[in-house]
Amino acid sequence: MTVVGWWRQAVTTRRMVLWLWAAVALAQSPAGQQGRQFYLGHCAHCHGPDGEGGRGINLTTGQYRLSRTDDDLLRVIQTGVPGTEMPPSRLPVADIRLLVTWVRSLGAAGALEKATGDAAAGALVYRNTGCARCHSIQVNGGQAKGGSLGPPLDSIGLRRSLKFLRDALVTPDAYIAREYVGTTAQTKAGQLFRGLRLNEDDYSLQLRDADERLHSFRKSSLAEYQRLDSSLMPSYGKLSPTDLNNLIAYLSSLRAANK
Amino acid sequence: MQFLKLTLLALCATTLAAQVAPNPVNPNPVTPNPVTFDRLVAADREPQNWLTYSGNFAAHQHSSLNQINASTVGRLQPRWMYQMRTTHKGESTPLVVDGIMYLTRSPNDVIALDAATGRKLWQFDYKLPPKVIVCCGQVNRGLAILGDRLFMSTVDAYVLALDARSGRLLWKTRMANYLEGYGSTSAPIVARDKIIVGMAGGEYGARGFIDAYDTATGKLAWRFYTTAGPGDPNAASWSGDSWKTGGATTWVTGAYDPDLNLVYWGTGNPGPDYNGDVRKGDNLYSDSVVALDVRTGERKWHFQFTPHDVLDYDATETPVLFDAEYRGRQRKLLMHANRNAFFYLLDRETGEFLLARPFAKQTWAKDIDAKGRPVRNPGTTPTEAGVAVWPAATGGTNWFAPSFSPQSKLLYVAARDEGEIFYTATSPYRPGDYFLGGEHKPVRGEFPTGAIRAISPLTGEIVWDHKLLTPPWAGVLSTAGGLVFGGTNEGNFFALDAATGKDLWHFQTGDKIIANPISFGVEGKQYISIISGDVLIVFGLPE
Ligand code: HEC
Ligand code: HEC
Repeated sequence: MTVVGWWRQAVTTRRMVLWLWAAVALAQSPAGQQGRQFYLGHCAHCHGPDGEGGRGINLTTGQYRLSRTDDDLLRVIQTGVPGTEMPPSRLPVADIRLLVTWVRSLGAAGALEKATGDAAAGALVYRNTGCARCHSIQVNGGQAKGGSLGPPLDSIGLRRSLKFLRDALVTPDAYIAREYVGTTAQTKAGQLFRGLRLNEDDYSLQLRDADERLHSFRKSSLAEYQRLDSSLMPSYGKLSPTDLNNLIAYLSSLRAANK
Repeated sequence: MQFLKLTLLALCATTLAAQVAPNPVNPNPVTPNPVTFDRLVAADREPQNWLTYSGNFAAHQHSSLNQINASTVGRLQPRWMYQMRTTHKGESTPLVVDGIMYLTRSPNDVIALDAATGRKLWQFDYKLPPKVIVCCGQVNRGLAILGDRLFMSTVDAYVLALDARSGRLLWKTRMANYLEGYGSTSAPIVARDKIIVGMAGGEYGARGFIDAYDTATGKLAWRFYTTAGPGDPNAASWSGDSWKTGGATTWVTGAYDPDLNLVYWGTGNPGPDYNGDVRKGDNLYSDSVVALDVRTGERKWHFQFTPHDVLDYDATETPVLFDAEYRGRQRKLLMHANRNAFFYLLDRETGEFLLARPFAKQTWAKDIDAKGRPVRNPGTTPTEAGVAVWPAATGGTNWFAPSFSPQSKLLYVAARDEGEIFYTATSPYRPGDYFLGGEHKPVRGEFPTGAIRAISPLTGEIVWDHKLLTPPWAGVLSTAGGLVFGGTNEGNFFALDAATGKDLWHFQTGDKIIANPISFGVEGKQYISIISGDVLIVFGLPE
């Protein structure tokens, strides 16, 4: 079952009717149509065409980490969320108000985005599959544990929708954040290096390999170097459906608020 | 042989300097000689100095010094640095006059330095009102000089004259109301007894103009409005009252032909930027070059590159002047590497269109017709859902300087191969507010790149292409040493072979370079300077 399918079933019929009524009323108004157009143009590639989530959070829950009022939403859409992929918008205030209304209509269902799996079992999958080789998780303000080739996952449940988490595990090549692009470097002597591209200019290239070793190369000393289209993370599509669901539930439960 | 050339050059430079300036050597900073208009016209004859924003009136951004050349450039090293200590962007091109460097520090401070040691002689601090609005950073890009007066325009839309010996303020004239989004960020040009000044504010519904002020009194001599209002023969190129908020600002320094007594100035995009429905028509004189008579400010001709622009393709890039035989006839020409990614060649006496050819990745135009008018590709008008178009709003090139070498006869351009998604939005006009009519965002998944490209001006052909990792924001300088200097976003300052584009030297400066390099000489030694971040670095050969 898709995530969207899941929440559609999970909401009560009464809520559904209310939501549909509100959405239909809004969708029919010219302002609603315009808000929807702006949403499709500026937001849908991250939050999904129906707000179901993607790189951006699921907007059908009507719950936001940083916002309560419409004014909060207006501000967050204007400024973005610094340190995350949520970008600032330079649209005029009037158009952002239309967006706020549309975002509210998406959230009117008040769907709870709740993973179907068992988070505790997922934590075991996480440990046994070796995710910590590349990812760190900081628990209760303690020391972050794990590798640094991939992004820290402390607040991944807040930042990303369930749909995105599944995609990240099954088809990691489909989306790679700018800061986590991999690169290869082959020296003229034939030695091959592969790792996270830390920095690059026209004359040199810096990377960190899977063993957390740092390398810096003069490009003139390399036979070849290449930015990778594929993720440094392997696909976990081979995990059993249960393990995968449990793992997603575990990731979704990681909601460190300070991140 | 090389040595001989060098010695000859050094001799030449010294004798030249001796002719023009009685105090060529620099015994504990000299007082520079007054920079007469004749000196400005003949700026090429004193290559040790950098007397105008682009090096000369023809805007060649070229130095005829050649001590630093293909065989010596490998030894180039920093000789001194000046830390500006500002959080604003360093986009300024300094002037150098008889051993003194005049530098603006963004927003609008002016600093005089001994060009041999980097030590400060004086500083002029300019206080801005609290609420100044300029779209893209409170910057200043340089000064003009005449006699012993320096001229600067400010981000709060004033024009200032300073005493070059002390930094003392001589006069201050208001150009426009900064609270309505007007400002000025570019260096003025001196044209006889006037300074010609451009303005900014195209993202705020400002109405563009080019001003001339009397250098002695600061009085406005004339103003040319770059949106055609009632009475102008091209007023019909704007629907309704849209000319009033039509932009077409003039925020980069132009060029000047003292013989024709015409000043050539590029104009910016029509406003609102991305939504053309509220300003139907060609929107003259947006995205054009205008040729103005310096005596009266009257328009001699104009040429519009991008009629009815909805992609923010300002034509403010510096026009570059040169003379050559074209199709069997000796002509006075004007080159323009335009933000819309096409290189243009025009006749600068008449404005006649001669040729156009793309120099950077573009998808917006199928062709440029025989009259110079673009034939647009379908699906390149912004929508609410967004369309991807090359080049990006930031263009195939931008405000930073191109360079023409009279030696190689090539135009060098820092080119940007980047696309963007363009959107429309509603945009009511409110004084002092953004007036964009839309937005633009990166194309997802694209890693945009850049290049330094050498263009053969009489054909538009690209002779060589030096790839850069990311689209540059720094101008270029060509020198008689057969070199082209440029800078990258990643902080590399580099020298290429002007004939082949081969990379000969580079230096990591540690911050993004968004400025134009220049060259000058003091005490018979050639220097190259560039601003990286907020630090001015002066390179020279070891002692
Ligand atoms: C590049 C991807 C991306 C785009 C485009 C994007 N978002 Fe987001 N958005 C995110 C991410 C990621 C978050 C989660 C940020 C966090 O960690 O709190 C987010 C969070 C939000 C939130 C929750 C804010 C809160 O108060 O917690 C709202 C509301 C939102 N986005 C609306 C929008 C709207 C409306 C648009 C279009 C104008 C948009 N987003 C465009 C990625 C995106
Ligand atoms: C070899 C190193 C490596 C291993 C092992 C690895 N990952 Fe990743 N992971 C990465 C990298 C690199 C990225 C960032 C690039 C990308 O998005 O594909 C990433 C991205 C992610 C993301 C998306 C994070 C975001 O904010 O976009 C999630 C979720 C994730 N990994 C979970 C896991 C889980 C769960 C495991 C174990 C089953 C795992 N990873 C194993 C390297 C790894």
